[in-house]
Amino acid sequence: MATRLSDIVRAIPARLRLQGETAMAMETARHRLVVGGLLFAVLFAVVGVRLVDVTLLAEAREPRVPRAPATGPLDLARADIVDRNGVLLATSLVTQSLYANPRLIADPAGAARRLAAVLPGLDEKSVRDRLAADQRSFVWIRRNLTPRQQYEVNRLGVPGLFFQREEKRVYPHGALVSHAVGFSDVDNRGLAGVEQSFDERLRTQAEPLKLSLDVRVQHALREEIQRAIDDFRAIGGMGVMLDVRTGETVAMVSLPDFDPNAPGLADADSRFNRNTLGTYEMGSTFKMFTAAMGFESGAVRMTDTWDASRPYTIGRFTISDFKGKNRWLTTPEVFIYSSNLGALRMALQVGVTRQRDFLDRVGFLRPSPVELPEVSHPIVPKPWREINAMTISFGHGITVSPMQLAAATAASVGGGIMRPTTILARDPGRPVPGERVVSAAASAQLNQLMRLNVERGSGRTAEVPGYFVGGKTGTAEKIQRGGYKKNARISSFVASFPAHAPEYVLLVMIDEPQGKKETGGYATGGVVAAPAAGRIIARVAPILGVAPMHEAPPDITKPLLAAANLR
Amino acid sequence: MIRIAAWAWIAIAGAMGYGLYQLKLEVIALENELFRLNRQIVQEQEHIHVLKAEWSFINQPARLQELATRHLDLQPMAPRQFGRLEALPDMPATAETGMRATAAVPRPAERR
Repeated sequence: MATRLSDIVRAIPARLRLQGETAMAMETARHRLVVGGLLFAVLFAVVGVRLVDVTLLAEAREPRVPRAPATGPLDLARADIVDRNGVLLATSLVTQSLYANPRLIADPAGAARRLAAVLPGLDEKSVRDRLAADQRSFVWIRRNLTPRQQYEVNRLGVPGLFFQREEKRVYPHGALVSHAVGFSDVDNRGLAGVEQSFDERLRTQAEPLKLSLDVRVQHALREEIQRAIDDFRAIGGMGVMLDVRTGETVAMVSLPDFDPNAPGLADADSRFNRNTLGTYEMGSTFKMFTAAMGFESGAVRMTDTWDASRPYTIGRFTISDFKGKNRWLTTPEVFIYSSNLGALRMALQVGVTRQRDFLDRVGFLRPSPVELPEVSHPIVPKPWREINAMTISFGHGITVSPMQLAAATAASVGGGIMRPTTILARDPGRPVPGERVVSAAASAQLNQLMRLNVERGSGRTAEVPGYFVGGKTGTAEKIQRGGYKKNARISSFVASFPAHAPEYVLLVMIDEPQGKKETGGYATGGVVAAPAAGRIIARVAPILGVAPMHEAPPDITKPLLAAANLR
Repeated sequence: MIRIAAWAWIAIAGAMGYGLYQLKLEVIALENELFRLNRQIVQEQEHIHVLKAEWSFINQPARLQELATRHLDLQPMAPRQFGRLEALPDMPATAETGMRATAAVPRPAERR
């Protein structure tokens, strides 16, 4: 242990020669060093090559940090909804919503007081309570501020308040298209109408959703129905206009309606879409279908006569005519005098099965295919007996929605092709789906009757010179639990124009109109709904590009007059 | 010799450094400009979007109708005011003056 380092150094010979175990150990160490060195050389080479690759070859430019906001089409959470002409019906606007982090708010009472001063309608007490509850770090104060309100809140300088960019759905046309477009909630989920049925589509695709509605027609329809409601002190009304050739819904109005910008303020009645969700006994307008199925099956010819001389009694029911003629009537007379007895006899000729089949084909036995969530099932008799066939022949004992009635009319008068009803604009380049439900000949015969009814019958008040309107009136008692409601009816009119080759079908229904002195106390379809339909057609036909005819209107009713015992 | 080369390299390095610095400044300025412009584009797009909604709002048919009744001396067109081109009578074949011949065409109001 006493050996000093210098002694050891001195003991090493000048030329060191190692042998045996020591030499082996040195050899091993050298090899390890060489292997290790090579390994590192390879790694450094790889890093070097990659460095050259990345900096010079692969990305031969300055690294770009995406600092600038991306441009391109506005990125909104929900697509717009437009009408058939591209008029904006629903869009999303970017707004700022105010929220607070209660943990950062030192003086909840003061903050609440100052917020209430700049945000009218803010409940100061509830805001104070929420701000004081500091176990949470996020509470909404107010969604969708106006830019002015945002400025005011910023000016307060209260720490702990933050803004969140949000989108607010706005409906520029308000109540005009409320039932069709529907509305969505504050979190942009569709809750009614197209907003609900196409919720997924509106979220995932950016291009606007194009509806088949035309706001101009919609406005005319709404205004005239409102006028009829006011005139006859009715509780509501509805109207549908369909394009016969495509099944598109050109206008759809249900009154009363609501403002989709504030759906929470509307009552249930206003939000109720009478056109698709409401089902009603339609009354005499069903005689169109009785006639159509009669012509189709060959059971009814224009020249046939029908016994309407006395009321028909079956079991405990007695069926009679309103202002009946009490004699045998020809087929056109049955239609234009709207004889229940005549229709009933026709239905008996047609038979229960054929009646049921026909009504099935024109879509009365299943819900309307229109793309709205608010669609209800029709109520049809089960089982379908002869007594049902009789009442259905004049529109009682079956309840359907106005939309179904309009669609079935469009199919029956429009050459006999049933087109699925849609609320979306069809692509003009693609063929419209449809299936034949009536022969073209039967459809033409029905058109003769419809026109005759406007020239000579209950639909006279709907005539618009030049537009050649055809139509059928209907007045149905309203049903209530256990029977019919006294003095409460739905007056309706189904019109087609131009009558010889219908392009559009219009249905107008007024709910519980009250008779007035000028109308002799009547509030029937011919008094209430038909004049409204006439005014609507006069207003919208030019918009729809239907040319008026003055010189020689196609005289499709002349052949009927002789057969119909009319001059 | 070596000294001259060294000085030359230093000068080149200095010039490159200065150039690079200037370039970098320029790029930063351009990027700021891009940022500003893109933000402006997005803002303008949002404004246009709001204006479109506004346009639809002020074009409500009910409002237009009310304004038209108040300010315009116009009435809805009656069906008889429409005519077809084919319904116009042919121009009488007077060889010398085509202009005078047009006076022979009845005016639409008289036609009925």
